[in-house]
Amino acid sequence: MTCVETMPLLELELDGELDARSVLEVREHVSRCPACARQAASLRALSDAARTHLTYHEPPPGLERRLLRPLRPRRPRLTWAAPALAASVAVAVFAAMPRRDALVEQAIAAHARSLQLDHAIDVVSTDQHTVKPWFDGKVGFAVPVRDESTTGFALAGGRLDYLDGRPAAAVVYRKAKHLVNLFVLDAQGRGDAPPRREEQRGFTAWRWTSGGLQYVLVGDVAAPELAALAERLAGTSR
Amino acid sequence: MSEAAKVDAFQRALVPHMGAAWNLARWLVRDSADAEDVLQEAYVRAFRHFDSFRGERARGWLLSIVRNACWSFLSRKGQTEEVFDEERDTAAVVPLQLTPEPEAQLVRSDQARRIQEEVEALRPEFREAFVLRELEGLSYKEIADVTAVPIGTVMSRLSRARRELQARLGDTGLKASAS
Repeated sequence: MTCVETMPLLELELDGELDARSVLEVREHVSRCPACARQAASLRALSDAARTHLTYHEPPPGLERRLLRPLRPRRPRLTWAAPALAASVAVAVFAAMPRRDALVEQAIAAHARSLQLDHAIDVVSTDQHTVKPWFDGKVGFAVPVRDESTTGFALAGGRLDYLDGRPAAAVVYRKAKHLVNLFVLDAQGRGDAPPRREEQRGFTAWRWTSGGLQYVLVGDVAAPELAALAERLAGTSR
Repeated sequence: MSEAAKVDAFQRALVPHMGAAWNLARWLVRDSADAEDVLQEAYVRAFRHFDSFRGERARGWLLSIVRNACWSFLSRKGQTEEVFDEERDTAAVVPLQLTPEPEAQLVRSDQARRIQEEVEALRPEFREAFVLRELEGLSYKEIADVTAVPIGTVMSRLSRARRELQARLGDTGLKASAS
């Protein structure tokens, strides 16, 4: 292969779009051609830098609710006298609704994102002694990582996430085909609080605070199983 | 299906992809308020066509609707009018001056800021291809489907984006930032 043939293929190789045989030919040429090797290294550096440094913009809190609001069926048309009444009813209904927990909302969104395979796990390991140190230096606290395989939740790995504008450790468990995310964040001075259940958008989440860390557990496993897992993790992670 | 049930099904299908939709819109229109307006428009459009959606490849389906909404927005704002001039735009590409040997950490954050700025400064069609490839990890075929152009066009846009970024950032800069 010549340089003229190789140059256009370097990007395809980088992007994983080249067939196995051409990959070998490209690599063979690159190994003995300094100019092509330089260009290959530069492309690789650009791609690495982009993946490392470019901002993956996170949706602002409450975005989904705002996006879906206009899609909901409209209420019957109001008469001239009704708007003021409707407004006061709306205020009353709003006030009566439990306040949505922004952290839980973000945890659920992060969980939903992680269900896409390529976003689920940064460090793949079933070994807690591999996952725990992986978080060192990535989040500003030690992350308790427990193996729960004896209760059916196999440790699958860890992932760095952002919740509430803060780095969060996501410890990922798997049960059959279901994924469970345990988000761990710095509690920022909040005192201990026992597990509390929250329902949003058909997802169940458990949140608690213990030993200076905040935890949010989200998963699409059966509710009693998730509750039991939350209790075990909360009881032992302090 | 009742209207309310349709909204629920719509919500379930799209929840996992809202992050990708937001990221793409935010990169294309480069402003949070505008991105939200555009996404709102896209969601209304997507909902209207949800009956014809068969449940496969929800991400690509949503992303193509979102990018179309972004492009209508950009063309309304006149940001797509400018025609690419090979000679002028390539001549303008000058490698940035590198700072002389500050601390490693400083170099890194400086590089992070610069690559961010340079990608933001790319023409929208190059920026779109680059972001879909590097941040969303889409294949050429997937990018072609989302942006409704042939694969060859995707390849040349990606290539242009990279050539421009390489020239603007310079090799030294990239090595420092990738470390």
